[in-house]
Amino acid sequence: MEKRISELLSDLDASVIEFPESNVVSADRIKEITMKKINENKRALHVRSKAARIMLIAAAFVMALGICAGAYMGFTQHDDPAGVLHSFFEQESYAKGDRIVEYENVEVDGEIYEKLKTNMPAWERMPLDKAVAEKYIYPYVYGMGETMTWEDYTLTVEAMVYDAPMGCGLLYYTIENPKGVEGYDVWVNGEVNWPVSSPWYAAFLHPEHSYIDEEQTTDTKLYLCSYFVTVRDWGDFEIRLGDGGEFKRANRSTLILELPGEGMDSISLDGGNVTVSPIGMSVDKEALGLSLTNDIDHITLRFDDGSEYIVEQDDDEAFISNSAYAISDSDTHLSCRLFNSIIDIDSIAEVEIEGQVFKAE
Amino acid sequence: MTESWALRALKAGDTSALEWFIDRYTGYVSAVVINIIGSGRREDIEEIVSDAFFVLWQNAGKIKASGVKGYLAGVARNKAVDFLRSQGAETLPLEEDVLVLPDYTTEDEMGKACERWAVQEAVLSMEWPEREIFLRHYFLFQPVRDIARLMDMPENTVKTHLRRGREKLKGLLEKELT
Repeated sequence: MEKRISELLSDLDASVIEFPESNVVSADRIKEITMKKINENKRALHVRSKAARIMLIAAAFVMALGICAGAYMGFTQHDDPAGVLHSFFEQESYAKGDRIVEYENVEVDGEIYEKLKTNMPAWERMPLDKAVAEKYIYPYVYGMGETMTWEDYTLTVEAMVYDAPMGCGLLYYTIENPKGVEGYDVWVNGEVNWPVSSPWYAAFLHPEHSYIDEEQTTDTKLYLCSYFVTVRDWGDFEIRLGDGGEFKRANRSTLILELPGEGMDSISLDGGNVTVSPIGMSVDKEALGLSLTNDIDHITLRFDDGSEYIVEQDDDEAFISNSAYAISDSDTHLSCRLFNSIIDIDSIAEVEIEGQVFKAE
Repeated sequence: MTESWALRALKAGDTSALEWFIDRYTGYVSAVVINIIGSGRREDIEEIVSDAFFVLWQNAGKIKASGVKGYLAGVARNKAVDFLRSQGAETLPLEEDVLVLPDYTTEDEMGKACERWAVQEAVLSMEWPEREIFLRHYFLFQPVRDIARLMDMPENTVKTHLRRGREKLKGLLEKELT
């Protein structure tokens, strides 16, 4: 048999090679281009079976009427908001309790102790408090129905939860192919992505993370949950479905969604520099005097009953992240995140951010 | 932030962790790309370098903390080769690129892993300047003449090191896989 050496080396751990570094391109420019690609490559998502059946019928009806994908169709409450929210907040994480707790040995006065190094909650999605959800969220769980196709793949938007003033939301998607939907990857935290080797892909132009709905996904149909952010104007809310094998991924279909203009109740702290809604929060880092180049390491919500919800903790004591998705936008200096739980905002007593405490009125 | 923590944050979807890696490795990844496609087309270099970081973002879950730099170099190299081919340009003809080996299988994951390990071991067993010459030629597609000029040695010496490297690789593959 014959083997090309240059091809054998394509899988080499190339860290054995040392070169003089080049300054031909700037790191800032690479960040700009890479972030744009990430935003363009954001992907799709899910719904429960009952809701899915209902919405597929709706999608077929829309197609039969000849209404083009992306047409504005108004926003009405989804028939089964609890079902929609189940997939976002009640399912076990994909990691199924693979909580990562690691210790390292440290020497103190000649004695060896174990020190907690990692305490990662496996990105659990928290149990849904239905009373809280009904109070704050149900009116904003919209039934959708837009659909697009690329070759044998059909992408259907099933439902959306969107908080316009906050600039964040949740999206339910399905992607179906009667011949199979192989090619996607699922990371340990349940997030779905399409590697460069995938023959097809789905992507959002807006920042988002999509998680697989294990309960519903089959070999021929993906059910997916997307947590997305719209804190600044990235243009149309566009979803793409196309050829993943092509270098530029230009062979694709696109679907443009209208976003509702209203938002759910929220609380405003520090004169509006901190806003907390039932599904997420935004922080004006510049106004709070926080680092503009790093995201926030410590956020805790404390409630009237004395309980607390640690949204972020990244220090020597622990690494906790209960954000389903977070971005720190370099233009607006807003740090915006979606929670992995629905929060009873009327019960919030205070919010602590990097040691600064903001009392709720 | 340490590299393992940055990778952990990257796996959690933290874009600031990706920016941390970009700050750390843009110069290195750029050097890999420039070695293959040349330094004349800045936009193309930027595109390929950012592609490498984009793939890192996509596949962070599969990468070991100690392997980010090597992973980036490998991705950048393969992207640069793909780019050259998409432009209708082939990589340079290589000095005896084909190894003739007894049959072995790489159809299953075990076979592929064994092959990767054998290649890695063969490269690690080479000492300087043999390893650098071998990788410049077969990994970065630098012609013998350029390597001789860059490393200030006769072309025949470069060819000798390449031959020894090929023999080591062939020997290890035969020993471990057949």
